This record gives sequence, C-alpha cells and structure tokens, in this order.
Amino acid sequence: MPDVGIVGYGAKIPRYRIKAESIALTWGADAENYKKGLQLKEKSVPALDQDTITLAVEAAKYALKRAGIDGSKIGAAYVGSESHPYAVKPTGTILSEAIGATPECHTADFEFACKAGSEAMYVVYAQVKAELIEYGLGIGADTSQGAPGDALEYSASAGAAAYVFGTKDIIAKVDYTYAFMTDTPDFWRREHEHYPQHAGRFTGEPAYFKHTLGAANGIMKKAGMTADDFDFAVFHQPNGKFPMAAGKRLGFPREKVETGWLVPWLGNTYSGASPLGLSAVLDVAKPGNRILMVSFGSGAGSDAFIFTVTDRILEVQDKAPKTRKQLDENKIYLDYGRYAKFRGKILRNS
Amino acid sequence: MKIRSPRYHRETPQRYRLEAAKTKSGDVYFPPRVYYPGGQTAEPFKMSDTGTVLTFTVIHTPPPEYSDLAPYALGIVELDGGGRITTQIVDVDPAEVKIGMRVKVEFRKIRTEGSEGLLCYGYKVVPE
Repeated sequence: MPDVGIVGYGAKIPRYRIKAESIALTWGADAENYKKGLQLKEKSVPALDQDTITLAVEAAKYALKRAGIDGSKIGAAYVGSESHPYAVKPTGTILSEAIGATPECHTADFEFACKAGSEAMYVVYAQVKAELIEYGLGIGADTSQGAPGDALEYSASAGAAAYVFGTKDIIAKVDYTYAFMTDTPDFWRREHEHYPQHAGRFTGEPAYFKHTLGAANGIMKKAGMTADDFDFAVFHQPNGKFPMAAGKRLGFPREKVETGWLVPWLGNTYSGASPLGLSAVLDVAKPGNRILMVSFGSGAGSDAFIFTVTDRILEVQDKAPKTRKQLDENKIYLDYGRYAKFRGKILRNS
Repeated sequence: MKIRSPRYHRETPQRYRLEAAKTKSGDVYFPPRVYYPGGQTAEPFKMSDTGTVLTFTVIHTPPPEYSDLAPYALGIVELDGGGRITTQIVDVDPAEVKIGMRVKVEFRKIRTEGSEGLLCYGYKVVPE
C-alpha cells in the first residue's frame, strides 16, 4: 500500500484585527487579565464580505497551488466549521464549484465545534488510503462568534486552513492517526441561537485537557514514541495558556510548541485553529521533521496525527503566502464600533 | 432586489472561476459570447488571478444593498495574460487605491439577500 500524506496545504487569515484593549474598554473589563492570564493580545476579524466559504476557498486555492494539481483532480472536499453560512445548503458545493472540482466530487459539511477541521482531514486521509479517491481536500474554516462582553469575545476569530491529501508528491507522510472522544457538555450552541454557551472552568480539565492529553498519549503509545521523538507539536488553541500547558504536561519543551502557537495574535479560529497551527509549522519544517498534531472540539473529542516531513516540503513552502506572514503583516486594526458592524452585532431594522 | 437562482447559477463559471474565451487572434472575451467579431471562433480561457488597476472610482452613495461597504473603490482591472473585469477593490482604504496598483483576485461575498435569501459569491480584488 502506498504512503498517504499531505500533498499541499494553504492558509487564509483576514487582514482585519481588534486588540484586547478595544474590547475591554467597551465592556469595562481589564485587558491585562486577558493578555496575561489567557495570553490573548488581539484577534482576526473577517471583512464584511468574508465568511467561512470565502476563507475556505482561498485556503483551498493555496493548497492546490502547493500541491501542483488542478481542482478537477479533487475527488472529495470536506469543510469543517461551526459557522457554515447556510443552515441548509452545503458549504462544500460552493467551495467545490469555486475550485473547479465539480461534478465528480464527493462533499459534506462537518461540524464538531473546534474539531471539525481535523475531522475533515481525517476522513479525506481515510478515503485516499482506501483508494476511493486520488486526491481529497480537508478544510477547517470558521468565522466564530463570541457573545458581546463574554470571555469568548476576546478569542473568537476567523481563519481557514486547507490540506490536499494524496499518495503522489507527498510533503508530509501520515504515520499514525488516533481519535479520542466522549460525551462531555462543555460548550454548545442550540439551533437559532446567535452565540454559544460554555460551562466556564468545566471547559478546562474535564474537556480540553482530558481529550487533548488522552489523544496525545494514545497516539504516542500506539506509535511507541515520546515527546523526544518530535520536532514540533501543535495543539488546539482556544487561548494562549491551554496549548502551552498541554505541551508541558506531555513533556514538550516550549520551543517545540511555539512555532504552531498562533492564538495570542490570531485568536481562536475554532475549526481552523490546529490546522492553521500545522500550516505555520509546515512553512518552516525541514525534511525528516516529525510533527504531532492534536485537535480538540467541545462536546468533546480530539483527533491526533503524526506526520513525517519529506524532501518535497522545500519545493512548496514559497508557492503560496505563509501563515506567519499573513498573521504579522498588512494588518488593519478596527475599533469596537467598526468591529461590531463587521460582526453584525448592531441592532437595526431590516 | 432578489436575484433569481437560475441566473445566479448560470453565471457561476465566470463569477467563481473567471472562465473566459480567447480567439485565435488573442482577444479575450469575458464572459464568453455566442458569436465573435469577424466570425472568429474562441477556445475556453481561464483568466489569471493577478492584475493591474486600469481605472477606478470611489462610491460614496451606493445602492442600498451595498451601503455597509461605503465608501468603496470600484474599478476596471486588467488581468495578467489578458481580460478585464469590473470589480470592487477591497481590504484597502479607497484613498490609497491608485491606477497601476497591483492586485490579486479573491473569492468574496458579493451580496446578501436579507436574512432569508441567497448568499451571492464572486470575485473582488485586494492589494497584491
């Protein structure tokens, strides 16, 4: 059986940002609590004409560029998000049409809070491995919402990352996969509600840490590896503190986690979070590097992957905009008023 | 104003993928036509996603459905390799838009039909 892995990857981060200070000023909160406590300095904000679909399409185009294949070669395209623009009408059909993958393409929209992106990758990988398709796209994309004044408003942000999986011209081989999941009511949004509810501190130990550490330990046991066997580790990043704490508890030194640690400047891109972290790692990875990626989605569960980077990585890194460059450059800062307008938080007559 | 689904659907090859047509003499037609000048035939041609601002104006009083975006720049962009599109120039202060500016095509939401209707997608350009 041929090796299966990532053939191309792409990331898309909107240009707009809001600082923690602007949110805190509006609600009479102390920005330092969020900046130091949760390590959330600023977050990305989608433009008025950007949503999960447009971000996913741009990330997918970059992934195809790095893969060096035409969209018509994509046999399956799955988009994971908790902010699909339509309640009924697939994100995947619009995406597949935009990249030229229709009509011979299987598509589905995934939803599992922040884990939906890695789920899409997991299923596409399995489809390629089962030899049902030659190439497939797994995408995590979100324009997540936090209720005004809630702690989530400091983190809920926007971004997308896309991965083409295949067997030819691989840039990162999938060595192992592992899934860890239980029914845990830590975070949810009921139908027709604008904003999610969360269970405060219950989102930490019984939810994020139990599943993230469970999946990381499970896959390392399956592979017979320890933290010493990896060059990089990427974890889901709902705030700056959690992924660093998870890494420390698993025995990863800080520098192995920092490369894919985007959240202090990006916010939590939900389904895009760990996939975007992985894209930042691939941007600088060298042949032979080994990467651990562990997602987390409330509800709750984690998907884990172990990748080994191949020689071809060096050929593709510069073929599309890098993640850190999109994060660090050409930023446009919004005040809270414009942010509220962009996010549809201002009450108006229709 | 609501757009009819058949019309929106019919235009997706152009709005989503910039599908044009190119004659043997090298002229690019966007959208493709049924007949071409001089009885020429044309082949399908996928236009490039980069180009240069040929001319533009700034819209301060837009139609109601675009009012949240005002002021915005609307321009004609000459794409690399041939073909021109009329499009919004976004992710930039309209005061900073210049003729000759390099731009890149991005997939964006063009219009939203209230809270019940279609979400209409297509191309816009951003600074390269």
